[in-house]
Amino acid sequence: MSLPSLSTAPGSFVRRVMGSRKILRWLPRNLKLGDPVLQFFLNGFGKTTRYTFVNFPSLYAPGTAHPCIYDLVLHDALGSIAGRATIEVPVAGTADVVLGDVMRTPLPELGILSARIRSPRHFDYSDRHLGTVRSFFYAAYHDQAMRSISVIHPQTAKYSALPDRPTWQSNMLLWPLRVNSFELLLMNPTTVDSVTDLRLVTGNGEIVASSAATIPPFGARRVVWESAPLQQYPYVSVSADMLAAPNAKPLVFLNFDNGAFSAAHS
Amino acid sequence: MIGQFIFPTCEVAGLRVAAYLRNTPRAAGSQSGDIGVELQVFQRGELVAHEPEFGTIPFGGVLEVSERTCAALAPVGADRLVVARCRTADGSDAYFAQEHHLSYENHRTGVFDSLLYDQLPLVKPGRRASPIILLAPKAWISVDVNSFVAFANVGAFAAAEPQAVPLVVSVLSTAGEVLSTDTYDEPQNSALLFDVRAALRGKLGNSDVPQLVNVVARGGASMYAIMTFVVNQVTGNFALEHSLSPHYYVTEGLARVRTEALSTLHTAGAR
Repeated sequence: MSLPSLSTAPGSFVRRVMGSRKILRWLPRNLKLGDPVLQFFLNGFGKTTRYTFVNFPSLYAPGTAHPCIYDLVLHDALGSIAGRATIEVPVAGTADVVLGDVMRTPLPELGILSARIRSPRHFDYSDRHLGTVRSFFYAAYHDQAMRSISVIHPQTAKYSALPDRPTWQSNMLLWPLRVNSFELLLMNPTTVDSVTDLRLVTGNGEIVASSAATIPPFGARRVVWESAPLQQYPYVSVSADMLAAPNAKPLVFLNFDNGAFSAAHS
Repeated sequence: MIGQFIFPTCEVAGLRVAAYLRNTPRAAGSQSGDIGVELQVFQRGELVAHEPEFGTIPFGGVLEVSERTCAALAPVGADRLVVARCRTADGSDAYFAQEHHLSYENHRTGVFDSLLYDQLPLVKPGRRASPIILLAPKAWISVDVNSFVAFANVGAFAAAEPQAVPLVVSVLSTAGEVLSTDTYDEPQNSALLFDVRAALRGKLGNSDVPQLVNVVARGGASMYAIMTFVVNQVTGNFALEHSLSPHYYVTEGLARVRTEALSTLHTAGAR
């Protein structure tokens, strides 16, 4: 019997040849990976983006720590791939990544970054007690010299199958009298076009602003609502008729009169 | 049903807090009754204010918790913990999920940031909470920028009892080297504001270019809400984000993770 090449999955080989899943527990394998995780990319509108990627397997399982790799794919607002990069993160380390430093292509003003962690070793069994590892990271949106800064964790992973598309309303209050404008980013983490009607609603459910558009797969859109026409309302909230995926909620920037901004996942 | 929303005041970071407690559908199209709110405010484990009937949140409505509505949240020169216990009318002690809106404001500039997160279950009397593992790879420091990690914890007791396990907080460089380690014996029902610049004592932060560090913590024996502030201390603008627990990163082996995590960090340079 010939052995499979090392590039084939050992699990499927064993299952096929030996008919037992139990033996998989004793075989070397790579990290079990969750789907790539997504977050917005901004490179305009007075904001730039940096990301932080931590070698969390080495901190959670330090006895068998090794460097890790993050594979990064940048999609533009239409979902086309705008750049790729591979980042190695040392044991217990964190990478502070500006895409312009690692992608040698023109960067879009708006897009979404996909990140997925992996082991640099082809077969690695040291982390298998961690189960499925998910590639969570942080994005920081800031202006020059971090005079304003926002730090946001991703809300969603990529979907390979079509997910539910829930109606949704945020629990976050937006006060028109306290800001200059609301700037919303919305993504489509799925493989099919997504039409979403994004709305601002009052406390009693009245729709006071709305904007519907189609977002292509792995694309993003940006909607800005000035606060002045809304200042008769003490507060409004963001809602959507159908999100592209269950947790594909908008990222909301609050732009202030003095030029500062803050942001929050909604 | 019942849940508790906990948050720190973060006054020492120069901010004023307001929470907007919500009562919203917990399943598509569902309707609920009122939620009654009991409010407790603690300072280093000591109960400094208690309003058993602080207010009611009607379905679809909002109840504000701030210094406008609670005198114990006025500035006192110390960080406090606020615990809002939210109870439905059915009298059950079962937990229910409800997301609330937390906001901090720099009163000098009017700039504020917000955060949504869920209320927590109550700690069952006699049950010891698992130690936490925190990774906060989102702290920058420079001449102008500093970061703070706020550890708000709530236990089962109203008295200022120490946690069974101390909280050990380290700061790691991007290369993975431990730059500082500090140990805290915080009482239950308290809010600790970890000042990254102070912890590093000049080892980093002397550059105009913000440098990233990772704040990692383990230990404690209480129920925590942890959030990080990145503050430009010249402009007063700031970022706010909650932590991601290990459940976000991995799906199995959390007991082993708690045992092993961070146990063999390279500690060159740490105090």
